[in-house]
Amino acid sequence: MIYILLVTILLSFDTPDFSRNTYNAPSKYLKFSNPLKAMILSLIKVYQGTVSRVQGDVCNFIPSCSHYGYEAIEKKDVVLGMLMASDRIQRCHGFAMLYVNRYYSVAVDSIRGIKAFDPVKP
Amino acid sequence: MNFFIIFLLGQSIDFAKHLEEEEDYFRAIYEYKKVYYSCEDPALKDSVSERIAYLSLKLGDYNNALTYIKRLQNESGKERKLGFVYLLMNDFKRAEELWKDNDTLMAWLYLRKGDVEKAKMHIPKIEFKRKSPFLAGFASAVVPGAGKFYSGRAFDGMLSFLINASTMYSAYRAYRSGRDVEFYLYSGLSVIFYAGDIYGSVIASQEYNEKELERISRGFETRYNVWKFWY
Repeated sequence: MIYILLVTILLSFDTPDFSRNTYNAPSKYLKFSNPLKAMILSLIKVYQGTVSRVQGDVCNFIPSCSHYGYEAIEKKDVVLGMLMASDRIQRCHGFAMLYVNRYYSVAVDSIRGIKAFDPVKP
Repeated sequence: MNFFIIFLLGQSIDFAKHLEEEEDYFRAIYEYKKVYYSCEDPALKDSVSERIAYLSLKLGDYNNALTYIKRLQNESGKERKLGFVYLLMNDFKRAEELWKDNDTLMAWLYLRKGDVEKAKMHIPKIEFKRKSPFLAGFASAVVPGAGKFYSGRAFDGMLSFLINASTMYSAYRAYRSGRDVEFYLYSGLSVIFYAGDIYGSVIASQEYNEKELERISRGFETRYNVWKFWY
């Protein structure tokens, strides 16, 4: 079990698949300055490399919730990043497109057509 | 020879006006510039310069607008026009100094600045109900999702309520059944979602205020026709 987990982690580091998104993906290599941050970012990478790949393109936003969470934690640190990611997951539902033009702008996705554009704000 | 030049300049101005009507501002500016650099008459130069500045503002080229406004030789209305440029460049302080006497323009300036109270001092009719970020956060702390309802995002609020209620209930069920690992897992998730909802509600109310202010400012611009003061 541990062996499978390790292999999955290594695989997800080696081949990050950002090709599905037109959005400019965050940096490829993790910085291990903060162990908690590195752990959470690793978990997101594992999710992206395993579950997300199988699940396909289901997020209503560009960047997708996992990329948003990754970027938020990387840029804003663990606590604020987690809050932002959690808020984003709660906003990702079928009615999110109703708020386009008011709170989100429109982004064009090569697979699903139109999505809501909601990047991490600086 | 002079007649020929005057004829050509007249043609250029007519063509620039036509381009302006077609909203082809970039080429209209080009035509006006041709006239500006060919003519000697100060009055004509002023009127052309004023058009170049106005169209540059429409195109968002504020520095060009500023340059041509500063070149105006006729001082009447020059300061008011400069105020427009400074306002669009978000230099509120300078615009405020130039527009002191005009209530409509001052109200518009404060609306763009986000200071509704000061805008109301100039035009009391302005109505804006600000959503309190504190109240939104507090509402979400009491009932998850309520802050988002309050901030005008009903669907976000509903989903937040469902996510929070289901994770909390799962944690409660795991606790009742004595399944420790599951209890810790769901409790952790509940805390993350609960805190995320409060944070999201505060941000949602701030975004609501921002967008609403933008909408009111745009409405004010049309209703009071603020651009009439340009002329």
